[in-house]
Amino acid sequence: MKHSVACFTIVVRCLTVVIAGGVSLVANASANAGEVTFATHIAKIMYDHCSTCHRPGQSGPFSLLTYEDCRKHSETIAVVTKDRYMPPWKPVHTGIDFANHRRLSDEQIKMIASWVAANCPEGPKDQMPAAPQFTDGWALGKPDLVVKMQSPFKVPAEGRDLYRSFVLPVGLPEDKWIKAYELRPTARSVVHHALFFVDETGSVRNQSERDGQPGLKGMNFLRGIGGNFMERGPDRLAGGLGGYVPGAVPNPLPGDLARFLPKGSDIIMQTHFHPSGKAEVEQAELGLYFADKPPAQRLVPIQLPPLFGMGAGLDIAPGEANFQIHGSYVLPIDVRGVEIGGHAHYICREMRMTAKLPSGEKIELLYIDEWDLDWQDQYQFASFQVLPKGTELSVTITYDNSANNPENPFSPPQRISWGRESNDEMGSITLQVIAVDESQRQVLEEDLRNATRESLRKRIQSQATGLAALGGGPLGKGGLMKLLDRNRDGKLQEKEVPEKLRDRLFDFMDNNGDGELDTEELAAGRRSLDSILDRK
Amino acid sequence: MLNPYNQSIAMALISIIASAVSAQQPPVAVIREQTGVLNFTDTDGNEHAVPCKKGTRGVVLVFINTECPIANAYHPTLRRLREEFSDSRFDFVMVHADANLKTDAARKHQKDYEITWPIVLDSGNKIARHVEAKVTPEAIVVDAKGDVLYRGRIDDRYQDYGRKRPEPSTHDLKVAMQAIVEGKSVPTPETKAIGCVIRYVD
Repeated sequence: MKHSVACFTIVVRCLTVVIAGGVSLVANASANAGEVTFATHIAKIMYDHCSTCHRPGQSGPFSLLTYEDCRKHSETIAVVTKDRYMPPWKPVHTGIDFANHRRLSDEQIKMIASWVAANCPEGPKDQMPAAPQFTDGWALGKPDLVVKMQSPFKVPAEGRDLYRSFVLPVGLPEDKWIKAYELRPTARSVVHHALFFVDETGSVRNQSERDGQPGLKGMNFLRGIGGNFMERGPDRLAGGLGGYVPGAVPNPLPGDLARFLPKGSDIIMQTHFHPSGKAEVEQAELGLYFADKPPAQRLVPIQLPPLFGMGAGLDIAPGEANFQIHGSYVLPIDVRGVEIGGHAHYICREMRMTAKLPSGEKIELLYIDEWDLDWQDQYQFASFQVLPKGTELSVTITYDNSANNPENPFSPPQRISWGRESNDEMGSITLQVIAVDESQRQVLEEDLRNATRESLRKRIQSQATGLAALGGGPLGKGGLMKLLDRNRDGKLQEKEVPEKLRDRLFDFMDNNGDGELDTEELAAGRRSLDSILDRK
Repeated sequence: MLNPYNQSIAMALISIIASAVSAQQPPVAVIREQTGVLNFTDTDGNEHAVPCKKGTRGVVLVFINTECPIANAYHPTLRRLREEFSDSRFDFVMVHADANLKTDAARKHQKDYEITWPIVLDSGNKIARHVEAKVTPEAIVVDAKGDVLYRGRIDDRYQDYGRKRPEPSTHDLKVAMQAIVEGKSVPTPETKAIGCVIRYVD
């Protein structure tokens, strides 16, 4: 199935190339008889799409700033652009334009191939575009605030990729609005990308270094998701700050839009490291740029399926090559789409979000056909997407848990289900929107909260037998504590809870993330559950 | 221990028996028939050659590039490989595929990545041309007769650009070297190496 789709795509691509190529030959004929040279054609492509990362001190492994640089790596450039491995840009072009996209057109890729095949002619020096100028410091100037990882993290020379979260302590005494941010890693060769989340509780920093190393494993900061959800609502939980590729030009939000950073919050940076062949030390800094005042319209995240796919039935049998989860949501008010991004782990293959407008028109808001968790970006629409009331948003995420998927973390394949470790899976696409009429925003937020609650209810019901059996009856009425509190300190420590149930219980109830469940947390957890399940 | 003469007789016998049992794979290519013998000197002044020097079982060439992240990620693996086969009479050589690389840059890179193999600068891409190397990292094992016994990847960690296994499932170069030591034919003598494409200078 995948093959036939791929073949079809290739045929379409070839046709496009032929047509586009024809046009370009005509267009260039007047310039210099169609010869592709660095000065006349290639330099601009390299400077616009490659040099921001491929320069000293950035994440690209070598510089592409001069003719000599590009000639030296020309054969590799031809191969990786043709493959679309570089420049890294995962969304398939569906007709939607994104701001600061790095995608090359088929025509540009063909031009690079012709240039390399012709042995990289330099071309007329007087037509050489000026080399790009970069500031050595922060791309957007001095940040309003620079926060830093609490302590350095050692990345070994070799081994599996590492997936770890770090707390960047912020803890400001007042609410702030983030306009843009820029990440500056210390070990750029090993840091591919980072995702940022807000910890409103300010408590995740206490969970740091629990395994003796800086930071937290995987996405362990998502603990207490059940209780925190009820207290704060899904908009806060899903309200990550987005993904960022080091070296990319930071994208300030358009207009007066900005992201909410409530007082007392910390920022969690989830990072994916590739061992580079030599030991490295990472202690990244994040530069924050604040807006002067709150925005007139507030961003609302619509995450589908909600809670990173927690309630979407993510449970994939070993060998299953085409497992799908779905999420859909009908907009209760008119909105504008501002930006979009996805999140999943290793065995995700494909994800898409489609909007079906009331007119019947379909828009593919995001389609990633070869998911790669190395390049989790946040994609800002070049112009707001008009999404009227009644628009149905549908997300489908596809996973390949077969041995044929080289990225499968298990060999032979094992059952993989929803979880916070990198070898577990997650899956969701988050669309950030604004209400056309800001006074209607709460209608959307309330509706989303209900949709998320429904998804959480499904998750709980699918696991209810386990939880109920454990408590020997309705959860939290002292049964659980009596049964498991072996050291009788009135709290449940993680080691007192059977391993199989540990994640479930602590996911839902460990609100302060201290690895203990006290009577109050158990009672709060029970209230959350009752409320979600509509129990009295 | 067998002396080299007896050992080669033993190996010949083994290969005859092996070929009687299952058709023996022909070598990937034969270097000497094409281009003769190529001698070269490493950065410490020691001599190496393709086909391999006398007294060695084969020359193990790995093409590298200081700026290729895929090649660089393999240095810990390659360091271990040399330790594991230290008593097997292979001649280990890392060849810098960048024909314009300066000795200072090669030495700095050698120190940064703790490279223990002899390093050769390949001006004019002479060695790469001789053995038809295409990417970094690419391993090529050539025996005394000039037969290319193995050509390709170090292991199967990279399936394609951006398609990487969490851990390699086959260690192709090591398996090939092990087979050569045991006098067996290499089970998969040619694999596809994924990495940075070597640019040949004019």
